[in-house]
Amino acid sequence: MDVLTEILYPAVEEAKGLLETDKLQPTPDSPLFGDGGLDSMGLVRFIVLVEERIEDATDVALTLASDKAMSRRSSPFATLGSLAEYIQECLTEEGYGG
Amino acid sequence: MDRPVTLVTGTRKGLGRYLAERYLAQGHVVVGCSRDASDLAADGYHHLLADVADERAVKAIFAFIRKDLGRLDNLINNAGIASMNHTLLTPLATVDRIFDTNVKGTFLFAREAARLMQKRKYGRIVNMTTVATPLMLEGEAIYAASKAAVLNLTQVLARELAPFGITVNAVGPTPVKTDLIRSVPKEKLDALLARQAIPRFGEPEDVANVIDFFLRKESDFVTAQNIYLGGVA
Repeated sequence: MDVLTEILYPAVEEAKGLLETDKLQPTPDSPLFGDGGLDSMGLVRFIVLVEERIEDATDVALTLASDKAMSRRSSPFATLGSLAEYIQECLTEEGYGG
Repeated sequence: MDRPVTLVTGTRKGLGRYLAERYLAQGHVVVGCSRDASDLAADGYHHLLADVADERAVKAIFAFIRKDLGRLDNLINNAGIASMNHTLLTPLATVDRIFDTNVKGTFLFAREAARLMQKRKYGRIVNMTTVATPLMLEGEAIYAASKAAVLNLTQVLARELAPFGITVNAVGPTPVKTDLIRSVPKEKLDALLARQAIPRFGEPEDVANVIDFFLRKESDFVTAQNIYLGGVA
């Protein structure tokens, strides 16, 4: 599965309406948080959208804001691209091969 | 569909069953859950099996609500357990069991409910506390402590969820004649009632009256509140 095009870009589209923000752009280097990205509550709500979409697409219930994610030197929540890589890694760990 | 969707935990019997029937009668779609099957069969009632502290099972309930019902208006975190015992004789397994159901269960349902509710910027969450906490009842150390945690959780959640139009409140019943107090000796109950301003057993209607108030659309400026019944403060 291509996480960017199948999960994250549709979530960006949904976020436009739900979070009333057009800060996120459907590109891998679009920053998620801070300058050019979402504020902290926006990020929380965006992660909820993403987790729902992952579950709908794969039947895997991931918790993205885990201790593992938070303790990394480079945050998975920096850009859409880094988040996509992290999600792919988590799905592989969960045994999802689709 | 404009019927409000109300999730009540612990609906197989006792207060939870009463609340499920009450909100069904008021036209809500009610989702109930318990560890065992329910014999409540009514239009608009959905029963799912779950241990409230089992994250996977709880997530499955919310996946059902999200996909099949599309919204959640109200959560009543009713499921709770108690165990009367002196601290010197209380097994750690009892502590785990009580905290799992009362604290972890309340947290899990509130978290998952808020994830759904925030999309519509509307939600009502009601938790259950107890007069055992302010009365500092001997023999109820772990139960009272678990509900003290629920009270604090209620107050912090109220602040975290306020930006999403979600209110979080709690009601603290006096003893109500349900299975929860079945094993409490009569003299203990009499002594407890004597400490209330209004010394009688609570009725399910007393609890529901407070919940009704918290659930009202007009109660959108009421959050982080806890109401003890019977005149316990």
